[in-house]
Formats: sequence, structure tokens, C-alpha cells
Amino acid sequence: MTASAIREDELVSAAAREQRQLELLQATLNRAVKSVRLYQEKLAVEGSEPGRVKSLEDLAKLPFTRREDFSEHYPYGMFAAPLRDIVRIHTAPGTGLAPTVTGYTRNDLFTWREILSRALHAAGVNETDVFQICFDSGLANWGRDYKDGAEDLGASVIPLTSLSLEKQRMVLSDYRTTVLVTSPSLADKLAAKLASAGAANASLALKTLILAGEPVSARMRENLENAFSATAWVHYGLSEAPGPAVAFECHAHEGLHVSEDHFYPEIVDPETGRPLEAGKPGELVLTTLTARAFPLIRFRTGDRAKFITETCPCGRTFRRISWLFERTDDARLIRGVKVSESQIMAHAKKALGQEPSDYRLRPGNRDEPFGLELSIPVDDTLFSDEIKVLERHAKSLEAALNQELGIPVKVRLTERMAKAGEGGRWINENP
Amino acid sequence: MHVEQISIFLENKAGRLAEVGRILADAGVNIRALSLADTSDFGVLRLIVSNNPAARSALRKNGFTVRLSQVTAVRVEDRPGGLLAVLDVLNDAEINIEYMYAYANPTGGTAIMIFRLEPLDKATEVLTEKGFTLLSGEDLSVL
Repeated sequence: MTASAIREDELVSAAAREQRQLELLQATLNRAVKSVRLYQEKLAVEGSEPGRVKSLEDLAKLPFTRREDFSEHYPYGMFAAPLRDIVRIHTAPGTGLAPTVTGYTRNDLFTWREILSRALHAAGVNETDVFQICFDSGLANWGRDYKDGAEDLGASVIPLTSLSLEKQRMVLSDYRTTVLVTSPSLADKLAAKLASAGAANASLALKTLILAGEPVSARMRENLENAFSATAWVHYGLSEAPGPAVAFECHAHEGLHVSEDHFYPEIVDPETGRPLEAGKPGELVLTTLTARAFPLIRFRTGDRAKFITETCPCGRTFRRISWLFERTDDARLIRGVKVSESQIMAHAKKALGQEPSDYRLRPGNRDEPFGLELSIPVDDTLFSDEIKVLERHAKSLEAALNQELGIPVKVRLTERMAKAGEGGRWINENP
Repeated sequence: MHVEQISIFLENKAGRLAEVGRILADAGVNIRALSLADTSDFGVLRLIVSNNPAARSALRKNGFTVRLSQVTAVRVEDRPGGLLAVLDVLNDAEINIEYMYAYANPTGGTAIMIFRLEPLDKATEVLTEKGFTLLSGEDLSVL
């Protein structure tokens, strides 16, 4: 793949960029304090006043924003713009009972289009491409953002629809797709479909595979690139807010460039919350610099990352991060969607009338149609001598989780379980 | 007149049924009737046995989830239409059959059907009124 021409805004010197970031940061803080009660309260504390932020380093003096804040201020509590200025509202699965609701002004949508367009341009996407988007419903918002970005480049976009994986495979082969945007685990399932359909990968027109939602190991990248005969490009984003391609790979494929004209990244010690020396792995914290409707100040992503300190051979001056595997919170990424045990148990309690006495969770493997399997032992209270009662329990919980998490979930009723081992209730391998 | 039935939750995997058989044999419990209802993931085994308390405690001790329910045992004539006579009565009285199975009765002449009926008391009343013979747990264990 040849390098695409780098856009001017990606080549700004570090000094000029930092100056601009500081101005945008101060404006963001002022707006947030003026319009969002959460930030009013957080930043009214002695020492945290926005006026104290005289340099980018001073940002570390301000308190964090966390995922819990989203559900506590559901639905519109974190909007910094009145609804009459909001032109789009996105709903994403949260990690609690309430979903995450984000808003976009006309200008915000334009900004996202730009962010996506630039990240896709860096992967060589252009007007000659047939651009297919394939995500689970939990990442439907990303589908819209990718559609906008690819349309901006003039590509022929096949937007996100609720097609079965088999139909997605058919589209991939028959429509001569050249760029596929999906999550790594969905790509893996699609690869399995291709293999079982006997479709030779050489017959695909695919050349670019954009992988979003989950970090990718070197081995998985190689497997997927071979399965599709395509080059993989990893994008980092947040499934709840604000969106995809917050960071993106360039043709060097060595870490991800943060879209630093729109986000200010920090890496902090997940235990102490203190900023870490560049290059040390820790938790990625993001602050939005241009978002009007939904500003985030020092948002704890729960994702582990580290800064890459060397400058990138591609010439872009945006700092790069390595996106690492383990998380710093109790959430797991399933096909790019964050799920947490507490969230699943809250839904189980609602559907079954009580929290199950025990449970196990397992990500679906490449040949299984579901993304997540929840196994629940049938105890005296759950048990019935009537099959239909047991099936009703399983189906109602399955339907609730499908809807709330936005990924296909399978609920399996089991006999009593052995005590959970050290790895906890997550099982990674098939028994 | 009701009969106590034991239901056992089983995962749909090899050897589980044999495991139940072994536990009951070790506990000296005789199985008089059984039905197994299954889905792709799990099954429910329903048993009428010679000694309920012994069966329950042995199964529980081995980690099985066990439930007791009340079922109705009806004697029907062993001839064409014998079962239909019972079903007609239940149907006319709008009683639901959740499930049913047959009881081994090698002595011949009559068959015994086990029904899980809803509502139970009304079913007992109607069937007795129509002259059907309902059997108790003791009746079954001496057959």
C-alpha cells in the first residue's frame, strides 16, 4: 500500500499544536462549566477551577469523568448545548442499566465527518472504493460515523444494516467490496463463513480491512490479513461516546495516531490517577477539544495504552499510542461493545426476578452465531418440572441482553457449577 | 388423590442419565415410571419412584437440582379409546395437560397414565366424579 498524501492539519509542529490545544481546552472548560451541571459541581471545587488551567499539564489538576456519570445524568444531563441546537442523538449500550445518550450539533457532525474522513484517507480509502460497514447493533452509531466519513471521500458506501453474517459474506463477494469496516471478532467469524462457503479469498476484491472496537494481537492481524488477502488498519474509539477513530493507524502500522486536534490524550496510573511518564503503560484518559454538544473532561476510558515516544516515519505529528489488551475496569470488549458483569447481573435480576446464584461468561468462538454466552445454573428457585417455564426464563433473559448490549447473547441453563477459579467467571476457551 | 413426582434438571450431555440411574440404584430406589423431556441444551427427567425421600436426598447430595410436584395417576382401560375417555373429560372441564406419560403395569388389563394437570384439584374432582380410578403413591408402589 502506498502512502496517501498527508493532510496539512496532520503536519502541524508540536509547539503550534500544543498552543492551539491549550486555547481549545480553555474554551471547552469554560463552556462545560457554564452549561453542564456535572462539570459545574466537579470544577467548582477549590483548586479545580478552569481558570487554573494555564498549561496543558495543568489539566491533571482537574477531576476525572467516569462512565457512571453517563447513567447518572441520563438522558440529557451532560449535554452542553440546548436541544434546539442538537441535530442528532445517539444511544449506545451503557455499562449500567441506563444507556449512554450523546448529542451532536450540526458543527459536531461536521467535525466527526472530518475525523473519520481523515482516518480513512490515511488507510488509502478514496472515491474508487466500495465501502462495506459491518457491526453489531451495539456499534450502530459507529456505522453512521463511518458512513459519513467514507461518503466524504466519495467512496460507494454500503451502510450498516441488520444483515445476517451469511448475507454480509454474500455482499462482500458479490458487490466486490474493497474496504470492509468491522470489529476483529466479527471479521474472524466472517472469515470462517468465507472458508465454509468455499469462497477463495483470492476471488475477493477486498484490499483494506478496518478493524475497530477491540485491540488486535499481531497473530490475529496476520490471520485476518491472510483470510481476506487485505491489509488491516486498526482504529481506536469509544463505543459509548464520543465515537470511532479517535486514534487511527497510518501506513507505518506502528501504533495509532490520536486525532489530537480534537482530543487531548493522557495516560494515567489506574490506581493513583496520576499522569505517567511518556512510554509507561496505563489508562487512557481523553478530553474533547472541539465537541460542542457533548464535551468530555478527563474521561477515564478503562482502556490500557501507552504513548509511543519516537516520531512516526509517516511524518504525522499527532502523538501515537499503543493500544494494549487488558482493561483497567471490570468491562470486557465483546465484538467492540463494552459489557460488564454488574450490568449483565442487573439485567438478569430484572428478567428472572432474582440475581442468579452463580454464572459464567464466555465470548462466542468464530463458528458460533452468538457474541457472548451466559451460563446460569438451575437452582431450586429457578427450576421447574415444565420445560416451557425454563425455556421462558432463558429466552426472556436472552432477549433482554440482546437488546440492551447490542450483541447476540446466548443464555444456557446448566447443572450446578464448580466454584469459580482464579480467572473469575469469564471463560475464554470452549470446554 | 395425588402422586408425588421427582423432577431432575439435566444438562444435555453424555452420561448424565446413567449418573442418575447409578445414584438411585446405590440408594436402593426403584424407578416405577419416567419421562424425559429435552431441548437442545437441557432436559427435565421426571420420575415416580419407590422411595421419594431417599431418592431426593441421594440426588441432592450429588449436586442435582430436584423438585417435587404433584401429579395425577389415572387407571385407564387397556383398549382402543381408553385414553381418549380421560382426555375428553379433561378437555370438557378445560383442564390443561402440562405433560403426561405412561406407567408400567405388566399385570395387564389396564394402563396407568401419569398427568401433570392444571388446576390440579379441579382435575381430581372431575375425574373422580366421572368414575375414573385415581391411584395414590402407595397404590403405585405395590403394583
